Formats: sequence, structure tokens, C-alpha cells
Amino acid sequence: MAVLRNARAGIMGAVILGLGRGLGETMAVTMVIGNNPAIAKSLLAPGYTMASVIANEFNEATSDLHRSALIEIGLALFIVTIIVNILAGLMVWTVTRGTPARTNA
Amino acid sequence: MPKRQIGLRRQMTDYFFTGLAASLSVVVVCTLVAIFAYLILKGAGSLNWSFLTQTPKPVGEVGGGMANALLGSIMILGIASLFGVPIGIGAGIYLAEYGRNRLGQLVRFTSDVLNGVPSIVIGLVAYGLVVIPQRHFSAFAGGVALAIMMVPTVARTTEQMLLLVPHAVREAAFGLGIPQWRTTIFITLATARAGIITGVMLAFARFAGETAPLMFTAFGNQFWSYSAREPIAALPLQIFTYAITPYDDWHRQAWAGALMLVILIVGTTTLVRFVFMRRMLGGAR
Amino acid sequence: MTTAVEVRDLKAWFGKTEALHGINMSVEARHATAVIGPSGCGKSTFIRCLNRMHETNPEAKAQGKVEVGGTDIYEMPAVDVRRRVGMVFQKPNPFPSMTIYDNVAAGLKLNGTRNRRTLDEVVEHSLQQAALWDEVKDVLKKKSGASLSGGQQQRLCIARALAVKPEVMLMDEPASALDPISTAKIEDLIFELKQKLTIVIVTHNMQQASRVAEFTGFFLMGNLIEFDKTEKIFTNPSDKRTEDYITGRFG
Repeated sequence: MAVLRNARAGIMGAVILGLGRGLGETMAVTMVIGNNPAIAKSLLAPGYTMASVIANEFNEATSDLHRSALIEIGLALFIVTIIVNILAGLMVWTVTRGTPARTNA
Repeated sequence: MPKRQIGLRRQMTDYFFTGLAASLSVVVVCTLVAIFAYLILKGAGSLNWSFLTQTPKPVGEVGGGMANALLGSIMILGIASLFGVPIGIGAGIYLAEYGRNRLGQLVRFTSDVLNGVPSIVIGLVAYGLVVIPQRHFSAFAGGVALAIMMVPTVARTTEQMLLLVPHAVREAAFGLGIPQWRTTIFITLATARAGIITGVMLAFARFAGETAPLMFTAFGNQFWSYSAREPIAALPLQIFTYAITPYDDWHRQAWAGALMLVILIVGTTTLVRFVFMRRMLGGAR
Repeated sequence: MTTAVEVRDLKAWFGKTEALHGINMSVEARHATAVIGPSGCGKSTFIRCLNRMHETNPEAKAQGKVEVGGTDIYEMPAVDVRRRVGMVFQKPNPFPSMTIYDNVAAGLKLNGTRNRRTLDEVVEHSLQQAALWDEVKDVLKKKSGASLSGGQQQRLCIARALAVKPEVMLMDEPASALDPISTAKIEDLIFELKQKLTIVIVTHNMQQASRVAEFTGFFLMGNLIEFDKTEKIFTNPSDKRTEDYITGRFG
């Protein structure tokens, strides 16, 4: 228990990092999420993710506007991921105090 | 409270948490085993010689294979490593040997952030950088996308491997009057050689399975392609394309392709780790 | 009697801590000088200043005059200094990724020498000087430097240092990690080598100092307390602190 308590911040950081990776996961999600661009009431109903939209529509986008819109979704995804990763990095850093690797003396 | 009772409660808690941790680990392993089992069940039957040597047949016709996708994956990885590996190793050398300063921290931070960017976003970046100016999809664009993803991974493993080289080795070189840069390249890097090569090959294996960044860079191709300037098929891309269609035969081939991809990746990783472990232990005496 | 190394008012720091407080010493050419003292007295720091290895530590600083063969080493490029003043470390550190041959040739190869014949000659000569030639001459290019025994590795490191033909050889407790037989071999080596080179050897083993060195310097807490002929230091020291150390009162 003592170990877990001390590692709390680091574990939270690792969890958030994992979430960050999950945010960006495209293919596995696209194949099963149903690609329904509506906010459904139930978790079990088809939905959509930012990455899936881009994956599905990009190659069929004919107008510049459509493409630009999709790239903007990419930007939103990028910003969200960066914020999540920085947050996670900060949490991990408070535990390790910024020593990513040791030198062998 | 009598001593005995405290002991029992502590012990029970201990067993409980140990059991919990163990069963969660088992869940993870089971997931992996389940994936393997399913793949083998669904794909092994279709993984035959014609699958490995033929290109896709037109829709509706039974048969054909993913030979062009296999070649395409190799070509894209080759192009990616042409850019990604030198830059990654260079960054790793800088971080390990000269990087205890502000710039080093900045590079490490940027590298970590880049590592966390979703692969599809990197695909979009490669689209903007390569596909738009060139006005067509290409294997080269796919290579660029994967190269961008490779750099942080290769840099990090290179840095770690270089830091594993004992400082005494560098000191010996300095003591002989060898300048810093020569020491880094001919002594430190040479000593960490095996580890760095392993890191690069593991990166290969990992990025061989990337699909999203190739969707709007390499784009895919139903035929043989040997040119870096044209759209090209890639294994994970082909699997995805087949999987979302309504055709049974293509589903069958998708399973086979998935099985092949997993075998290649897991096989390479295991082999590389095995060879590396032997060299590490053999040379450490 | 000529002076090989002249040290004048040498000070050294680790960050803000002053480790050496103004050392003055004249090291006799083609003789062995021992540096003794308790742990932490600055002896390793001292000899590392003699070939400018001290400053490879990013927090370290040195100040003062150290003249080797008349030239101040702080006025010339550090790499040049280290080719004239060689070093053997406490723990043998052969290059792990190289063969025995490549280890010995490393100093020359990486400083520009390419001629095969020259390298062959120097490797053989250095290994002979280090009394290792007979043991390894058949496996020069087959065995890696790291596959030798501890004593052999240290002699390999000595050969490697000798290959660049230094004028002065610094030895930081070269035998402390070795067994008695290897230690004896290394001490015999020092006897041979000091006919051609100047040797400065740090040792915590006072018997060793009295066996191999003509002169000895006693360090304590960053100061050179006494420097004289070895005989005198060990039989009739001038300073009470020296006497306390050699009689085993501390350290």
C-alpha cells in the first residue's frame, strides 16, 4: 500500500498517457464504432470519433472546404492529445523529478 | 487486540491484493492469447503459397493474395528508415553525450510529445508536406509519415543504449587523447552497437503495423508497384480495405493478412530480442 | 636529475567545494613517485589534474600551473596533453567492442595513424613492454579485450596507454582491484617502465609505495603535507601527521 501511495502521481500519469494513446487510436475504433455522426443517448449505440471521421471521409472529400474541415478535426485531435500528454508528463515528472535516464558512472 | 488477529487480517489483505494483481495480469495475457487464437482460427486456412505470391483479383473473383502489399510494406519501411534512422540516432547521440542542458531537455520534451501524437494526425501532416505539393499519393509520402513517427522512438532507444555504456569506457578514450567527437562515434557508439540495432529493428516491427498514416499518403494499390513515386499497397492498409467490404472472400483474405502481419511482427521482435540477449550476456563477461 | 612534471599552486574544485588547496610538487623524470593518503584526501583528484582529466567532469574546475617537460599543460589543447601524459585507471577498462589488437592500437588509429606495419610494430612493442605479449600473441585479433582475466586486462590497458608513447604515465591505484600475483606483475612492470618514462602512482598500499617508488608525497584533506624520498617518509617523516598515517593511526 505504501508503494502504491507514493507512486500515485506516477500511476495517474501512466493512466493518462494510456488514455492519450487510446484517443488517437484510429483503425481498431473505426472498424467497430458504427460511424454515426450523432451524439447517441446510449453507450451501446453507434457513434463516431475524431480519428474515425478523418479516416473515413478524407479520401472521399471532394471539395477544399471538406478537406480543410477534416484537417481542422485533425488539429483539434492534435491539441487535445498534446494537452493530455503534457498533463501526464507533468504528473510522472513530479514522481521521477525529471530524471529520464541515469548515467553509468 | 491480540497479536494473532492482526496478523491474520494483514495476511488476508496481502493474499487478496496479490491475487488481484495476479488475476489482472492473467487477463492481459489471456487477451493476447485470445487474439492469437482467433487469428489462427480464422486465418491459418487461407495463408497459403498463392496468397503470398499473387496480387489481388478483381472484386467478385475468388482467390488472389497480398504479395504486392508485402512488398509495399517493405518499400515504405525502407524509405522511412532512410530518413528516420539517421535522424533518430543522431538525436539519441546528442541527448546521451551532450544533452544535459536546456536544449537537451527541450529535445527530449518535444520527442515525447511527438511520440504521443495520433498516427492519423501525422498522416495528415505528411499529406500536407508531400502529397499536396507532388499532387499525387506515393510510397515516398508513406515513408515520410512513418519516418516522422520513427524519429522519437529511435532517438529514445539510442539514448538509453548509449547511457548504458559505462563512463569508464569513455574515460579510457579521453585518457588516450582521443577527442570527444571521435570517442562518441568510434568508441561509445561502437560499444552500444548491438543495442541500437535492436532498437531500430524493434521500431521497424512496430511501425510495420501502422495503418492510419498510410491512408492518405501511400493510399494503397491493387497492383504491383516498384516506384516510390506512385501509390503503393501496404499490408495493414490492405487488411483494413478488405475488412470493411461486404465480400466474404476478401474477409477471408483479411484474416490471412492479419495473421501474416502478426507473425511477422511478433517473429521479428522475438528473434531480435533473442539474438540481442545472447550478445549482451556473451559480451558482458 | 631533471624534472618531468612541475606543479605550482594547483587548486581544484568540484562545483563550489575546493578539493585541492594549492599543491606544489616537482616530479623527478624517469623515476616513480607515489602519492599516498587516506580516502578522500585528494590524491585521485591530484593526478587527474596532471593530464587534465579532472575537467572532463562538467562541474569540475582547476587552476594553477602544471608544466610537463617545460610547457604548461593548461596552455595547450587537452587532447595533446593526454597524449603526452597517459593514464591507467583503478578498474581495468578495455574497450569492450574491440579485439586485443584494436584495443592497443586504438590510441594510434583514432589519432590518425593508418599504416598497417606501424600499427603492428607498436602493438607488439607495447604488449611486450606490458609483459602481455607472450600470453596473447596468438589471439590478438580473435579475442575481445573484455575476455581476458582482470590482471591481463589491466596489463592490456597499460599496453594501450604505452602505445601512444607518453612521457609520463599516471596510475590511479592500478593494482587495487587485482589479486596478489597480478599485483606483483604490475609492480615488476613499473620497475621496467620507469627506466624510460616518469611514473606517478596513487596507492593506498604503503608497502607498494615503498617497493616501487623513489619519491612519495603524502596528501591529507586536499593538502600536500610532505614530499620527500620514499625512504625518508617511511622511516623518519618530518611531519607528525605523516607519521600518524604511516603508523596506521588513521586512514
